[in-house]
Formats: sequence, structure tokens, C-alpha cells
Amino acid sequence: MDLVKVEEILFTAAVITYLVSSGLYIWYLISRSQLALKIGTMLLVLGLASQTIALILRWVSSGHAPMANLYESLSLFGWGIVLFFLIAQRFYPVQAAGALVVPTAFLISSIAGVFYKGPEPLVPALQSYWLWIHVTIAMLSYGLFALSFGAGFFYIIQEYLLKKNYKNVLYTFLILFSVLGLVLGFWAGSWWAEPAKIMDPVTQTVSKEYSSSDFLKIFGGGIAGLLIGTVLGFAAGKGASKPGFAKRLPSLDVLDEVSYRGIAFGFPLLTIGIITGAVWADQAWGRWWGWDPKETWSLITWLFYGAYLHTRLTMGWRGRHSAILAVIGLVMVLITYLGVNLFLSGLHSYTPAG
Amino acid sequence: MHLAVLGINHKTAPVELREKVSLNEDRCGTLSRHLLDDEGISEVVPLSTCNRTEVYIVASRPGIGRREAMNALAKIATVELRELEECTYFHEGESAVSHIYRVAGSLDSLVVGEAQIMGQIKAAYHAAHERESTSVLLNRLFRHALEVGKRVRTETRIGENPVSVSSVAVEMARKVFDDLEGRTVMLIGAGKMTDLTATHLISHGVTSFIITNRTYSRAEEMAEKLNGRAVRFEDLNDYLPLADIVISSTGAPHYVLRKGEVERAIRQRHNRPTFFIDIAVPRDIDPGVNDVYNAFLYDIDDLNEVAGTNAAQREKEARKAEEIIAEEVGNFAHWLSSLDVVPTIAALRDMAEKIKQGELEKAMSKLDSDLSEKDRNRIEALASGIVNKMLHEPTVELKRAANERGGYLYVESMRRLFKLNGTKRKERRKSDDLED
Repeated sequence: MDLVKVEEILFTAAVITYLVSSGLYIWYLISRSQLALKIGTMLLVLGLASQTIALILRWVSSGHAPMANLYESLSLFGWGIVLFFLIAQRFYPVQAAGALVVPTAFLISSIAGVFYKGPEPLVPALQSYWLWIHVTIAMLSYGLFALSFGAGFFYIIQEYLLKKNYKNVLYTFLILFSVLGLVLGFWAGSWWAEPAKIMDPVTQTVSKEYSSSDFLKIFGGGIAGLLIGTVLGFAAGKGASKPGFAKRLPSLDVLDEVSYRGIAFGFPLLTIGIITGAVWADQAWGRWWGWDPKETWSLITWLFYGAYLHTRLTMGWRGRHSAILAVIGLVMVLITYLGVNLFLSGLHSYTPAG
Repeated sequence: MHLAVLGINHKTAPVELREKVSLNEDRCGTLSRHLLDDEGISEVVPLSTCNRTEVYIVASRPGIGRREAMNALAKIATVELRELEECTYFHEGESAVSHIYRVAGSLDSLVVGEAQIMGQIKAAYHAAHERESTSVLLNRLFRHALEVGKRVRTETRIGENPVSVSSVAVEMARKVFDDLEGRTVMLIGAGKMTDLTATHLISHGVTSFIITNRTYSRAEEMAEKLNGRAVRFEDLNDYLPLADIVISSTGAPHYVLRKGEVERAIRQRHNRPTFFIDIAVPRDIDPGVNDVYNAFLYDIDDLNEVAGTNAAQREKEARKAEEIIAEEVGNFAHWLSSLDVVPTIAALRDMAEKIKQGELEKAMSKLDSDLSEKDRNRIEALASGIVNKMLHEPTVELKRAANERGGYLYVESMRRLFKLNGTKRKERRKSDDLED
């Protein structure tokens, strides 16, 4: 059997395990069944192993690091989330956060599956060892930010629960799920739309021009995502806004710590990711920085997480305020990572230029 | 060989009576000796805790036990027999087994799911074992009961949700701080309730206490006891920023802690959270404190509400525990029935008959084929004769022992020596492990 076939099977197996594991983690949160947790964790480890082999096989069969197209990059993103969650769970009692983090990893990995593409040679501009350095480091930082996001979100929920403010528990779920639905919906819509492409001869960057029917598709996707998110958020929020739910979540201390640690480790990685990107851009295009949407947004994200650490270390912020920043941070990461496709085609959007 | 239990507990008797029949080590011994003097009673284990006094006995016939145990108890406790009769319960056979299992599983406790009962049963059993008032049946019953208690605690979440106000307070504090070790606790008001909660906190690793009280000397007393630090009531706000957990229970008619003071303290703590527990009525802490960033306030109603939902959860778990108990009672009854003499004798004879037949067949096939029919019959008769003679004495002895004290010792030995499988292997192994 050829490598590509094996890789595809292993990747699919990983996605299915993540789905089942998501169900088990959610079930654990609802019922506190230790068995569900045990099996869920076991499946997650198996899925991670399977996805790891799939990524290695892809590397071998394509001859370059598996980060060149959207499938490869998203798969790596999902892989990073699972990896860091399992590490966090090993050291902190954050099993309950798995009910949010594991489905996120499943969602991202399954989107990777939607954009599945066989191995292909690299476009000339990507043929560089910088590819895997730059992309791996960026993806690892995204994985850590996703972990911070999960812990931060549950911090906010747990804090409202402990303050007996059950209404805000519901609102927090509603807001988060709606925003995530909106972002993901817009993004899905943008893949559906087929804008005209205009190439910039210098940077090989293609900017997009949208027709009105394209806008309809994009906004349609956004609104559908918003609706689905709101319904899910309402259901989850209703279930969680009960006095007994606080017992099922980790303590504020642990959630605050994990959320902070994720960013404390993720921020330096993001910094290195941006620097390596700039060095690579200089080599490939002859410029360090060109303010393309990806570069701009990654700078905004970087400043944002920098502000998180600053408020925390020098202004003594902690608790809910920090947790809110950690949650917003991931939304910004998603915009940097996915939203850029709305405006740009080319190297960062994982579609072949032209 | 009939199991029975006579008892009195918090559901059937007022505390005044329970106090009187409560048995210390000495009285347990006296009661046991007294009961064992009776011909019909072979084993005794008294169990006495603050909520119950029970006597487990093994009698040779049904109907023996109730009266004897009641008389003995009345005599030792010097209470009126009639008074006792009205407040006691009596179970026999399987329902007695079910009773001790429910007690061990803490289903019969005042606080369902409490953990102390297991230790109390263990101690009662060990004491009885020391004074040699137990034998096969109660040994097995009590060891099994402890296993059942353990099973209930591990397989259900019956003990997980605290239901007392002070333990709920600790549980909620642990949802803020995770680990209470190394935290500083401030006690406002040196009363009984703060004392109780402090004890709970100490068991969770808290070592640093700040105590304040309107009457300074009381604060000093308590500080000495808790190895903490007493501060004057006027200085409360100076020390507030040091406290991770604040427990207030004063008799003050107005708030002793207001929102503004708490805001200032948290700012001084650089936003580190503080957990406030207000167990005073009327309340000591301004309810607005709960709105302060990183301050969490629980008053007595909040704690009672959590305790209430926890109690409801325990009820749910208790139903699961009842299923486990029903299953285990079945197991025990199965073992108990194997101790009956008649099936044991039948099994013994059956085994002997099988050996005899097997050996005869082997021998016959080797003997000359021209052996006469008469000789063959003789050989068969010889084999039967040996088997019957061998088994005669044990059979008679077993039947006689069945009606004596400790008779099933013989039955049990017989089953073990000859490997008469009436009991499940697994269960037997379990009990062997326990013997060590």
C-alpha cells in the first residue's frame, strides 16, 4: 500500500477518535464518570499517535515539511492543541476543560479533512527550510493559545458560578459560541465564494475582488454560523448555569495558572515565529515586512498577548480580566489564521497563487 | 446457626436512651460474656457508636436471641425493659445481613455517606475477636461487611458531596484555591462555629490562623489552641489583606465587614482572591462584598443551599448503594446455605461414590475376564463397605455437631478438606486473603 493511502487512513482514524473522545469528555463533564474520562484520554492519546504518524508519512511522501497547504497546516494546528492539552492534563487537574478543548481540536482537524489534498511539490517561494521552522513554531504557539483559551473560558464560567451569578454564566456561553460561530461561518463562506484574483507581480501575492453574490455567500455563512453558535451556546449555558456545576470544573487557581502558562510559553514562540517569518520574507521577497494582512494581524495578535503579559506582570492583573484577554486572544488568532483568506490569496492562505 | 441483630439507633430512640445503652469496651465485654453463657448463643459482636448500639448474635435456633439480648442490654444499661422494647429493632437471617451491610455502607447513618462508621465497625469487630466471642459466621459477616462498605464508597459517590455547613465551606474554598495548604485563615469571632470550621481547615492543611474577637482574651485563648495569632478587633482591617479565607461568626447586630474595606484589602493583595464565609445570623459581612473583584462571599443560606443539592445527590448515590448491597446479601446467603449440614453430607457421599465407581472400573478392566459374577459382586461390596464405614462416623458427628455451638466449624472444615465446592471459588479466596 502506498504511503499516501496509509496516511489518509491514519488521519481519518485520528479525526474519528477525536470525535468520540470529545463526546466522552463532554459526558465526563456532565456525569463525572471516571470511566468516560479514562477512555476519552486513552482515545485522545491514540488519536494523537495516529495523527503524528500521518504527519510524518506526509513529510516523507511529499519530501517537505507538512505545512504547505491548508490540510497540512490545519492538521498540525489540531495536533498541537491535542498535544498541549494532554501535557496540561498530565500536570494539572484540567480534565473538565477537555470538554471545550478536545471538540476544538476535533473541529480544526475535521476542517483539515475537508480540505484534504494529496502531497504536491512546493511552489518555488516555499522551497526553503524556513518553511518548517516558521510554520512549526507558529502552530505550536497557536496550540498553546488554544489551551489558554479553554482554561480562560472555564475560569470565567467558574468565577460566575462561585459568585452565584448564574445569568452571566449563560451569557458568557452565548457570547463565546456566537462569536466563534460567526468567525468560523464567515471563514467557511469565504471558501465558498469565488472572488476574482488580481496578482501583484512583485510579491506573487494575489488580492481578491468580490462580487455581490460572493458577499452574499460570505455573509450567509457568517449568519448561519452565528445562529448555530447561539443555539449551541444557549443549550450549553443552560446546562452549566446551575449551582452544582462548579464542582465539576477545576478550581480558579488551576484555571488561572494554566491559562497564564499557556500564554507565557506561547508568546515567546509567537515572537520567534514572527521573526523567522520576517527573515524568510527578506530572503524570498527581498523585504522584511510588507504590512500584508497576515503580517499586520499577526503583529496585532502579538501586541495583544504582549499586553496580556504586561497587565499581568506589572499591573497585577489576574483572574477574570486576564481570562477574558486569553479568550479574545484566540479569536484574534483565528482571524490571523483564517480570516486573512477573505482578503488575500498566496503564501499565507494556503492556496496556490495565480 | 441463625444470625440475628438487636439494635437501637437515632431513628428509633431519643438521645437520652441512646446515651444510657451506649456501650464502652468493658460493657461490651460483660454483655458478650453474659450472652455466651446462654446455651443457644454461640457468637456475639456488640457495636456501639454515638448514634447506635447493636448486638449481633449467632443462635442455634430461630427464636433465640431477641429476648436474651434485650434482657442483657437492659440489665447492663440499667434501663426499664419495657422502655427498651419500644425502641429496638430486631432482624434475623438475610435481613440481619442486609442491615449490617447498610450500616457499613453508611446508608443507615444520620448523615448518609459519612466515613467514620467503617472505622467503628472495624474496631468493634476487632475487640470482639480479641475477646474470642466470634467464630466462623460473624468473622465472615464482619469482614464481608467491611468489604461491602469499601465497595459502596469506591463504586458510588456517596461520600463525595459534603453535607455539613463547615465541610461545604471548605469544599467551596477549594474551588477557589485548589490546595488549602499554606493559606492564611482569619477567624472573626472566637465561637463554636468558627472553631468547628477551623478544625475542618486544619485537616486540609491550613496552619496559619489570625484570630480576632471583640473580647480580646477569647481571641488569645483560641489563638493559643490553633497556634495562631490574636489581633485586636480594632485592627481587623490592617490584617485583612493577609487573609486568603475569612470566616466570620460574631453576635454583632450590624455588619463588621463592609464593601469598601474589602475592596481596599483586595487591592493591597494585588487582586489575589479572598474567600469570605459568613456563618453569623444576623449577617456579619455586607452582601455587596460578593460584587468586589476576586472576592467570593458565602453566607449561611448559600452554604445550606449547596448542602441541600449535595444531599439530594447523596440520595441518588444511596440508591446505587442499595443495589450493591442487595447483590452482596445474595452472595453471603449463598455461602451461608453451603454451611447447611444436609447438602454437605450429600456432597461428601456423592464424592465418595464417584471415587468408588472410578476405582472399581479401573480394577475390573485389569482383572481376569473369567472372574465369576459372584466374585465381581464381592469386590463391589468390599468397596462399598469401606466407603460406608469410612463415612459413617463423620456423617453422624456432623449431624450431631449441627445442633451445637460452633457446629458449622465442622461443616466448613469438611468442605475445605474434601474440596466440596458449594461456595464460589472467588469468594473463598477473598476470605482467605482476609485471614492473613
